Amino acid sequence: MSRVSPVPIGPKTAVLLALVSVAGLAMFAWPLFASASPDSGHTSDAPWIFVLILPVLVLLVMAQLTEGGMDAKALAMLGVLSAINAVLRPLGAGTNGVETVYFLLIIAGRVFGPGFGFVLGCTSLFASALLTAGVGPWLSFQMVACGWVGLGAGLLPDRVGKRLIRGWAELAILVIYGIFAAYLFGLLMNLWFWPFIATDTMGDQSIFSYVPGAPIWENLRRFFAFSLVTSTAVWDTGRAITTTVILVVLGPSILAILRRASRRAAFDPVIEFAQS
Amino acid sequence: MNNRQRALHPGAWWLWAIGLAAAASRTTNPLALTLIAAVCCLVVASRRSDAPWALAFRMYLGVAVFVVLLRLGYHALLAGNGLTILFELPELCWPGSDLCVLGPVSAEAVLSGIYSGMQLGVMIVCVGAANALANPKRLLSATPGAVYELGSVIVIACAVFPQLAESVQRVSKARQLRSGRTHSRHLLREVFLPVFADALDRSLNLAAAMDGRGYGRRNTSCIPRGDTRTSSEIPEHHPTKFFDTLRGTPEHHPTKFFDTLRGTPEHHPTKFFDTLRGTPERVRDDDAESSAKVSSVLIVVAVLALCVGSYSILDSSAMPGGLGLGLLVGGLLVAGLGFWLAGLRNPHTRYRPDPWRGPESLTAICGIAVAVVFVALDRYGPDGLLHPPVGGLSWPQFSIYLLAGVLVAALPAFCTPAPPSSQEEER
Amino acid sequence: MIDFDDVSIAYQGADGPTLSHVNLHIDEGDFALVCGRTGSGKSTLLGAVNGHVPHFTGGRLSGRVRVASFDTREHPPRDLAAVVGVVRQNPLAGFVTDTVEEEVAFGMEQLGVAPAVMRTRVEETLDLLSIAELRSRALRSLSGGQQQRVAIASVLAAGARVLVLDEPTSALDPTSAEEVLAAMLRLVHDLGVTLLLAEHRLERVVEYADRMVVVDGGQVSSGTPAEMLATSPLAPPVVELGKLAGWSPLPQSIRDARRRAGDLRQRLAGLDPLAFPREAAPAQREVAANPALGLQARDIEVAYGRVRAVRRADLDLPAGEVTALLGRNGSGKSSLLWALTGVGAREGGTWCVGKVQLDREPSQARKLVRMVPQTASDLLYLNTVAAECAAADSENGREPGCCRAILDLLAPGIPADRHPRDLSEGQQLALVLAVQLAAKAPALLLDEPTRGLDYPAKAALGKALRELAAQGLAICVATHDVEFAATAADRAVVMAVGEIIAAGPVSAVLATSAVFAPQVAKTLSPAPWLSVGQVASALGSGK
Repeated sequence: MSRVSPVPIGPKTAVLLALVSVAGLAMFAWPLFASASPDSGHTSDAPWIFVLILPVLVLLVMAQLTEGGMDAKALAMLGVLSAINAVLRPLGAGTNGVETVYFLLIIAGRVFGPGFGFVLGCTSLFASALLTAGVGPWLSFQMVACGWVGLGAGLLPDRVGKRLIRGWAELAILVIYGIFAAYLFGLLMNLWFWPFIATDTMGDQSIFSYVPGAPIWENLRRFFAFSLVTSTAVWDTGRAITTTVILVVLGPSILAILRRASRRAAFDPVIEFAQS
Repeated sequence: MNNRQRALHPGAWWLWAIGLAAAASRTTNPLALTLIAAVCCLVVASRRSDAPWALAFRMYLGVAVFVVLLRLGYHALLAGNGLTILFELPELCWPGSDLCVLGPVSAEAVLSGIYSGMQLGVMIVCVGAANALANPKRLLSATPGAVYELGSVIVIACAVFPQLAESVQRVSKARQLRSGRTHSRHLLREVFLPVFADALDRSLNLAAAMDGRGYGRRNTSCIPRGDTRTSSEIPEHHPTKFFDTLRGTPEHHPTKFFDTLRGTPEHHPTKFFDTLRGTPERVRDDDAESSAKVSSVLIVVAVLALCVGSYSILDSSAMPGGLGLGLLVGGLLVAGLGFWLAGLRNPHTRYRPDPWRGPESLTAICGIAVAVVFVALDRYGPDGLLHPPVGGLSWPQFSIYLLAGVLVAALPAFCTPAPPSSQEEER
Repeated sequence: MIDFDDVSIAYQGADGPTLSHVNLHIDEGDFALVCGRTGSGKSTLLGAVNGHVPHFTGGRLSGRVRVASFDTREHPPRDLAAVVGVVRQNPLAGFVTDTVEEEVAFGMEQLGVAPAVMRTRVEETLDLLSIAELRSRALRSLSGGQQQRVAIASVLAAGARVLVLDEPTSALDPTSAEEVLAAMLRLVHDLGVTLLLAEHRLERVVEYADRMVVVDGGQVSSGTPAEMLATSPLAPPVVELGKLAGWSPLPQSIRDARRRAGDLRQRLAGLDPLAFPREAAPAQREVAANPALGLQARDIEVAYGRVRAVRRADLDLPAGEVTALLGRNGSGKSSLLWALTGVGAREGGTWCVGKVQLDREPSQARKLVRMVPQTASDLLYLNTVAAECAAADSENGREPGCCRAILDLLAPGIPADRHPRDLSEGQQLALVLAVQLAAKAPALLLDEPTRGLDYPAKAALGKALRELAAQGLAICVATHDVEFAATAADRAVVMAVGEIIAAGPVSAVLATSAVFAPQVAKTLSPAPWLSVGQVASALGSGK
């Protein structure tokens, strides 16, 4: 069975998604690129402006992705999976780095394709924010990052040559991707948060501080030091381990259940009418 | 129902809160920040309902305090240098590098940590206030037509969420019946998988139900919605007849019924948009197509403008000062237009939409006014008013403009209708 | 109103057509009752009315389906929403929003009805189905009957003049089912709505129907209920009784039958109902009924917060007998059964199986008492039937193949590689029953096992339970289905507001009850005849 795509990505949407992804990435990583010229006056506002702009970008992409109306089956599936993620998310909260959202994002992205994965990442985090976690300035950044996790999972190769990748090979790919995504997600969110916590306001020489306008490698070095000390070792590793364990234990069953659901839902039903 | 009591449009509260947050982003003056936080608390205390989301305000306060402590800790322990040393901690250095933590703790570092931490914390309090005051479900029902699908996904998620909790309880009880285990390595499988499979089956049922109830219906169909034919032309099987019987009141004439259905003339958009949305009679597909093209071109333009605008903010040398900001604002406007157009093609209507009346405007204006005052003070006000120096360890300045500016935001606490009690809120 | 013109439907990958050459015409304002076995193509027939089949499911449709003169080839279900409303078995699974009022408005929002019109229609529809006082309630918190009425209201508000209901009452207790049926009948009579209703328990509705549509193996025939019932293999007990007694035309309601039954009552006079078996009895009993070996519970108390769900209940389940536990929804049946498994909440009381005091040794409960819960599929989590059977064997320390052997006795021929969720309701129940029976516990409890089962599946379940009882098990079945209780059970216990209000042999408890009497008993009272089989064997012996 080839992969179904309940949320298809056309060429125009793909370009838009790529554009927004680049812009989004820039909004995560702005501290590395921002110039320090004090006369501009906007550099210090950059994070706040991004907090306002990113949600607009996300909405625009969503409007484009759902252009022409979304299939009721895809919509219901998205709604139910988002609700499951919203239930899963608080289960991990409070425990160091036990993140229970990624595995389902990854598997759903894998089964239903990149467009579905991206939308699911966004809707899951949004639903979770409304239901339990609360809306904050960080929300749109989390949404985009989770959207990327699902999108990336959807882009993983489905076949080698003519052979479908299934079974252990598929699980191994997903686990490797899961670990990669866990660390990358952590780094991205840190990168966004870093200037808020550790901007060098007094010309101090701390190795962990963000120095506006410093060369990119200098700031990158500082960022990695900050990240390593504050989160990577504990949170991100915890996230990677949780995702791996859940993928290994539940992965095959969830893949089977989702594929069965996808088959039963018949996202592209063959409808024929014949004269009797 | 008491007419005085009603929930304000959630959008108004969000505009108000964003205005306050924008003001907070302009200052590190602890007095101003404290004042803003106090105004938030005052309004929340007087205008929140007793719904669960309203009670989460405390959580945001907690997060804000945590952020202040985090920032303080970071500055005091990891990145502090200043002249007034409060006390010394043993310095720990990574062997062979300049990676050092702890060491002397200076008063300037502590102050700087508190100031910048408070800025962030107060902004979080503002967002928390919006969360507590605005009903998230009503906000969802105000999602623009262009992302109607997205809103529907969230509505479904909110409806399924509590059912899942029940499903988990049911399955874990059933699991004990079968295996008798309360804790085991199979717990994840035996509870999660049945709940999961059940939920997916449910999603298929839900999709079938939505499909059968008209979800995803576009204007392109010819089955009655806004029929323009006169009553004499309406064939016998037409729903009007049924609803006449259903309603049974003679004063509702069928034609009138369809007039209301179509919307009264003064709400009618101009001819141009009439074509875009499709004439009620029957939509020509190419019209719908062309409107889709227009809106999606607008969306692409908006994204481009926003991307370039954001870039210019990062690198001011790339573009003359005003252009970047202009691009951003222009991008937002184009985005709004594209949204509106895309939404027009969406034939849905809203049941009991929240009205936007005087109190809503007042609330939004109050919030935005505070932002304007702070931006003006930032530009034209005395030095050091909004950003008090930490160097001299002096008492931060204060001015009557600041006080007046912030207090404007407290008006909604007195000039808006009180929220309804929880039973009416649920409606 | 609804026209099927030589319609055949085949699903993708299926061996043959699910429906073949169906011609069916339903007039405007008709109440048509659709009946047929599970898997007969009944759901496909109903789905084809609004274009759900094949637009949603995929498949090949030949011929034409027209509803209110709209051809479903050209109009997918979403376009027909203003004409046809579909209500399914589990209303909660089809709700999009979470409060009553929003749910009723949802369909109209999709159709783009102007807000002012929507407001009036919502109010009118709420009144029409008498759910106005529920308007702001969360859908989850409603009873099944209320939920079903909200589901009907929501399609009606969107403008549907044709209602298609696929077993809307099969998950409801008799009182809620009555509410829903009454609401539907009111719509038919007052508004002229065309109603197409599929229902397993014909005894509830057949007397109101204008037409009866029988689906059997992909073939559809229709006619007046009296015509159809004469030849239909599926018929309510009162009709079976009429056939047995040779009445013509056949009675469709208790009232009809009672007026005709004078001669039958005379023929049966002097015969003792207890002397005749109610159904074909198992070949032989291995053990005689024995209260001492069964389950005995005393003073069971269950409370959730301040609600006392079960109050000082005494229950005896003798080994070798099937006990039916009756009562309306919320009367404490489920709570009592759960408490007896040792899993559910229990405030106080003692209970034992044989000589083992389970309240002192709760760890033994799992070995001695097994239960099939209301949603049987909750117990299944593996991908194939074979894997479930193997898991059940290893959980209970049985030799491999034990569970599968039991399953083959209960429902032969289920493919081992089938996904448990793809099984029919009856097969799923059999699988769960087999999984629980693999423990070889002396007491077996079943919570509402008959919901969603058709007559033959119910008869098969009844036979299986009687055979298990004959092997010495103590069985308790909580059910709303009095006809099932009347044929399958030896004893009956009735609960109300947490208390046990009646207990004794079935003939004593059911025959005299106003609510729980089966149709045969109502027809032939005061003599306690319970089932058609019993009357048949009595008449046979009399000749």
